[in-house]
Amino acid sequence: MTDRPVTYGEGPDLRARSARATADTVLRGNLTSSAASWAKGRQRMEDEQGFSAMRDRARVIRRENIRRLPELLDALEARVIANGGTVVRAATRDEATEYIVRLARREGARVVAKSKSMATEEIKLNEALDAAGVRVVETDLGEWILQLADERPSHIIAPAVHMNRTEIAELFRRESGEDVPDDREALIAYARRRLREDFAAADIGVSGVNLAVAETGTLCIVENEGNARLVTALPRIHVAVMGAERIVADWDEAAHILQLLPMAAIGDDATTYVNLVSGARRDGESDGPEELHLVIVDGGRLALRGSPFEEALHCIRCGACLYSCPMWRTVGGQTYDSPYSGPIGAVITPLLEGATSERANELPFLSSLCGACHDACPVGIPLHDLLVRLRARADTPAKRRRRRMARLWSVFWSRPLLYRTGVRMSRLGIRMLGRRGWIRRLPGPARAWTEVRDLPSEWPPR
Amino acid sequence: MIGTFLAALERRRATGERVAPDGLGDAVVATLRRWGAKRALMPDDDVIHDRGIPDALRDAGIEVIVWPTDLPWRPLLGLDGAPATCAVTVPALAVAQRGTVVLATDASHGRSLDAVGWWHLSILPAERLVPTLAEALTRVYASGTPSAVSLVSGPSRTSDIEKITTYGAHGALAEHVLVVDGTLSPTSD
Repeated sequence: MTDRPVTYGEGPDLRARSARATADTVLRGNLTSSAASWAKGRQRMEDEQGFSAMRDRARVIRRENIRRLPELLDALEARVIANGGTVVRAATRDEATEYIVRLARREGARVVAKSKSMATEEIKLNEALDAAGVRVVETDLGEWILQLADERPSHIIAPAVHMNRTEIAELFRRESGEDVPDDREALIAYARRRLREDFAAADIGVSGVNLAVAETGTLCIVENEGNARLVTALPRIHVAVMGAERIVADWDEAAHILQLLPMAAIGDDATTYVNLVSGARRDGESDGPEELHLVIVDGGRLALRGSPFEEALHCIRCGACLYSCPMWRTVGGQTYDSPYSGPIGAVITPLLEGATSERANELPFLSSLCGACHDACPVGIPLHDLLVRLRARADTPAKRRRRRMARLWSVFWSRPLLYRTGVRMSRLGIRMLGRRGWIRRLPGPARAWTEVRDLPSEWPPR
Repeated sequence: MIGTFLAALERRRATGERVAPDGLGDAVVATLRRWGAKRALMPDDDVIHDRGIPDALRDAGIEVIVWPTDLPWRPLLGLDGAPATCAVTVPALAVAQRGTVVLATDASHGRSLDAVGWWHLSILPAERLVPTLAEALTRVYASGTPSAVSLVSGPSRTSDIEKITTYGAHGALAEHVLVVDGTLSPTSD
């Protein structure tokens, strides 16, 4: 293992986290090459599938879904119950987590197998299950690697994108004591074998939900590895955790979004698997869970409807805006110190964590507002506009300083005697600072300005 | 449409071929031999039984397990030295454009069937091909809601290591589709 520190998410200060991440050239190389391969796939989708033309309809579908959200959620709930499932509407993250922990306790669960899910990151499910003495196994290869390394994901759909295979092989060797060679096939074969043990042992399978179809009460879980299928088919109980906005009305809409999602996410027109779950095992079936629990997490989402930030709910979590973002490509996902990174993370983290949260006051500023994210978004969310609105709302130390300065200035400026005396003294001060008519260097906050410029101390300068 | 489907399979790193109903048994045996499968896990489905496929496989020395099965997960998952297994499926439909087979769960088609095996062989009657995903999904759900439906497009893969696609993650290492072109009625002899 190299000596470089690999987690940039810790520490309260965004500037410090960014600086640590940008100093890591290996990380930047990994981010750059993955963004480049994404861009290539994306261009292919444009050329072969007419990606852009599909975005208009997706945008209309998502706008309508969110407009009808309460009604669609009621329909979904009714259908899932009719299909034999249990539905829990969690108003807060804690409500969602507590329900799942209680369920695990009731079942005496020892092992929970998970497939990749941002919603479970958001509700901090792993920590809660760990605390309850349940062993949680992330079965998506990237997430599993991070779990072994004790790190946080750096990308919505490619969580371990910041590590290379030498580092991963070293991690596996340390974990198993076996000699795992550092070629990709061997690493994957090792993970496959190890994780099949966990699939067989798991009492509960926890998955996310990419999209729910209200019409039939179906949960769509999109993946390439096959782990989500095993997670949702083998354990006795399947718990699906979905963000309340991830819903469409019918199969016609679902087909459109399900086609667009992999194009935007991985530059391919299909993933290997789309698992469509409409309930637990039925009479006569010999696999599938005995119970299906759908946990619908609000966590501040429903309140965004009708607000200037409503469009943030259109997101289908493809991760395209991350790859397209020059900021994310430079600092990586962990710098955001939130389950959601990149432009969409900088938008929804403040919205879900509240205007007074620490992240709300820093993440909206981690953007050049270039708008590449808007171009990349398959549902056309104006992310840069939302970031500007969030900046206006944020309360940063710099803003507080500016407000104090402005108050001071107005006191000074509105009293003629004070103003005239002040100007005279400033003129004197400037002359004293100057050498031969020029100020070469200023102290304190003005230093940055004079580092590359000189300032005349007399007029006209000598 | 068969040509479109076979081309799409190739894009997905799967393979496929057109077979006549009479040649199906031989094609199944040949595929499993090519992969080196010692065991076949297959649904209790007319398409398979009517062509005598279980017998053909047994004659070739390959063990046959018919779904639903009482076997516990560990041997089904290939643990504890269980023989290398090929899952055989009969899709309800397939999407020509994107090389996707649509597996609908029922008593004889487990929802985990294609993903537990080392390899995945699909036997697809040609008339089940539809052009688009939208058409496939509307058709599957028009006549009721199966407890689970799986859309499968090629072998299991991951790009989680250095963003390079590598095949054989948690599901099947390889996928082959036999497109049965012609009437699938029971043999007359």
